[in-house]
Amino acid sequence: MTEQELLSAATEAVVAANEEKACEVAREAVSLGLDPLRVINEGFTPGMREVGDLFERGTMFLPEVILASEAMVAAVAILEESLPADQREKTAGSVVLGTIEGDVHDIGKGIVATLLRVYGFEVHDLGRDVPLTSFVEKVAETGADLVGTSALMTTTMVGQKALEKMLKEAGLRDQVKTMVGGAVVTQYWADKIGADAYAENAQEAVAKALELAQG
Amino acid sequence: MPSSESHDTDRPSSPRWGIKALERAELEALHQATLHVLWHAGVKVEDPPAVDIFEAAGATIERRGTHALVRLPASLVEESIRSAPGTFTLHGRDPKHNFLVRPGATGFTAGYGEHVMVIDIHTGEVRPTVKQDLADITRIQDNLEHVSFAERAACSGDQYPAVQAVHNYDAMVRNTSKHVFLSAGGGDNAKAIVAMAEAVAGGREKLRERPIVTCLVSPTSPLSLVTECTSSMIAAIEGGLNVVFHAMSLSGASSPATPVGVVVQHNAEVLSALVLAQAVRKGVPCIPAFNSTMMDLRRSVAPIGVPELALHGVAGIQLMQYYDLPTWAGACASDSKIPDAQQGYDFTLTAMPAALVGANVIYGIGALESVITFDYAAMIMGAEQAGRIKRIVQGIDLSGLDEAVALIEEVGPGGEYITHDHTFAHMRELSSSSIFDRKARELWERDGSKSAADRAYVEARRILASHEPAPLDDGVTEKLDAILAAREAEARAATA
Repeated sequence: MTEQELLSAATEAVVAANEEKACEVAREAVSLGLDPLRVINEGFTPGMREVGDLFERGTMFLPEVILASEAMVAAVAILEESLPADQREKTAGSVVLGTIEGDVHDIGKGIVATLLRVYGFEVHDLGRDVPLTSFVEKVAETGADLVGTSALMTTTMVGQKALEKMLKEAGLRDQVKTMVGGAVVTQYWADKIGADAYAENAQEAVAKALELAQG
Repeated sequence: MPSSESHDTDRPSSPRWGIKALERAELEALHQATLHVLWHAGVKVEDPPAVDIFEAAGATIERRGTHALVRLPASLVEESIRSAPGTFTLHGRDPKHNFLVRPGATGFTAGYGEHVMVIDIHTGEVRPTVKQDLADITRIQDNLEHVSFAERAACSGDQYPAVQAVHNYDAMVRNTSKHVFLSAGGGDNAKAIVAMAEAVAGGREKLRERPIVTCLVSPTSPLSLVTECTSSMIAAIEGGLNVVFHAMSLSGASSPATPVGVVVQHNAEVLSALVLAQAVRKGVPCIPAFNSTMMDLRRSVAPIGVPELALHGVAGIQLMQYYDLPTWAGACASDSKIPDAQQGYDFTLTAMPAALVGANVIYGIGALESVITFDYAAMIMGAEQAGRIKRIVQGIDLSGLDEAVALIEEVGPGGEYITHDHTFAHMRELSSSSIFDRKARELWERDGSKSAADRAYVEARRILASHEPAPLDDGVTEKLDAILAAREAEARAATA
């Protein structure tokens, strides 16, 4: 297999959501002594980008996207083993995610987590019914660029406002951007509580996260 | 399950026209599959008091830190099904609005759960709901002929979050004398709602005789009863109220991607809640609700105006009828953002099957935008459509056959019926319309060429300006104010 063929195979394996194949390609690249970063950036990442495009166009289904991102993550892990620590893939950013305490809805938040991973974010998903202090602690621990909270109920959206205050009190608000979402949340609410961004759906959440991470 | 022959009979109270989609053997297979799930997969229960009640009732418990896995033996499940009544009254604050839940009785209500956005009736702006919206929507429900009871259709979003549910009841009970359905948001709020209902009904015993409000609780899919659900349920039942189990899974996300899988899991969820309810108070009326829809795994949204909602509902309701249990169907709701053609199609796609299968309660009138937004025009049009659908379910009366044959013979070829006595005797039975247009084009143009939705907004504003709900007894509003204030102070102190 030429290097070009291998890069194409990497892309195809991700688009096909074939974890086994993606890992095989990654191991082959290592055994051929190819530059792991080049294989990630020119082989696997374009595959994930295509997956994102196909999902956005309604051609690909969410379960396929999840499997594709798992294939990508597994292959990258193999390639990263042969990289010195300082050269490891730079992520698009690091995000702490969770559904506010008192709220057990987490399907939407799970989709956002998946898509953020697809677009190269390191995601710390705290799950659902997450106490506000856990968000603050995780942000402090990971030095995350973003913290995203979901609220599906009007009784829990107030937690998003309280979190803004708690991050300020912990001296973390200047170093982390906040994003809010969930069925009952609106741009108006985000503006009112001083959140940095609001997203209507998962695709928009990714776009806003990329904007915030770069800004 | 034995003893379910009754629903196939032609007792006069049954809907004469309907859907019998599943055969008895198929229902039994779904029932056995559900029993398998309840024993082998079990149900996750968070709150220790609820776990204790399950244990005392005969469930097998594995305590796992923050929750317990509760396995329900078939005998316990079937005993609970048998102890829950199939016929009982949903009492109105005013007894003239009593609704007898029985096989064949169908009533509609507005709202698909708690809408958080509304299309403003005056400005057309889409904005978050406030307590006054719930008061207004409820007042219109009170006035609509084809709305049999009032579901809590909007969130008191401008009120203190921890006690919004109590504000919801406050807004509703002042604006309708029909039976009220709402969720409590936890045991403490449920107790406050019970206290308010006691004040309205005239005391604790009066409320137990005539529970005028029913508590909605939501099992979480898959197979979980969270604390909010069980604590609300226990407090409501202990206070004398009946309960509705609102499971709402999304096929492909929180339940299997096939209708048969959704029905079995959903059935397991509502039956697990039923077991708890019957263990709290044997014989308490429980209404299992079928609201499971689907996840659109391409768009990652949860649409509601979909064939799947009707398929899950029809199968689930037939199962409940097989059990001799009352039934509730989620229907009528749309994914459209405005009261347009799609909204009408979505409404009937799910409301018609729900009515034909004989659901006792059908809710969702007025629901837009995948049940996020409520709309007044959709409510007014939906109520009229509910009346038309109920007419179809009534079927045709064959007892008039001989009379009709004699009439046709008498009038004969080339005759006319307009002036015949038979026509005078029956013409008021023919359907009529209010919002839906039947006029000649010229008359419709003379009246401004308005759409049905335009006319419906006008009608909603007319009802709001003119309809006065039956007043509460003297001194009751002061009691409501006091209970609400005390509960709010308690909640604020607890979070301070």
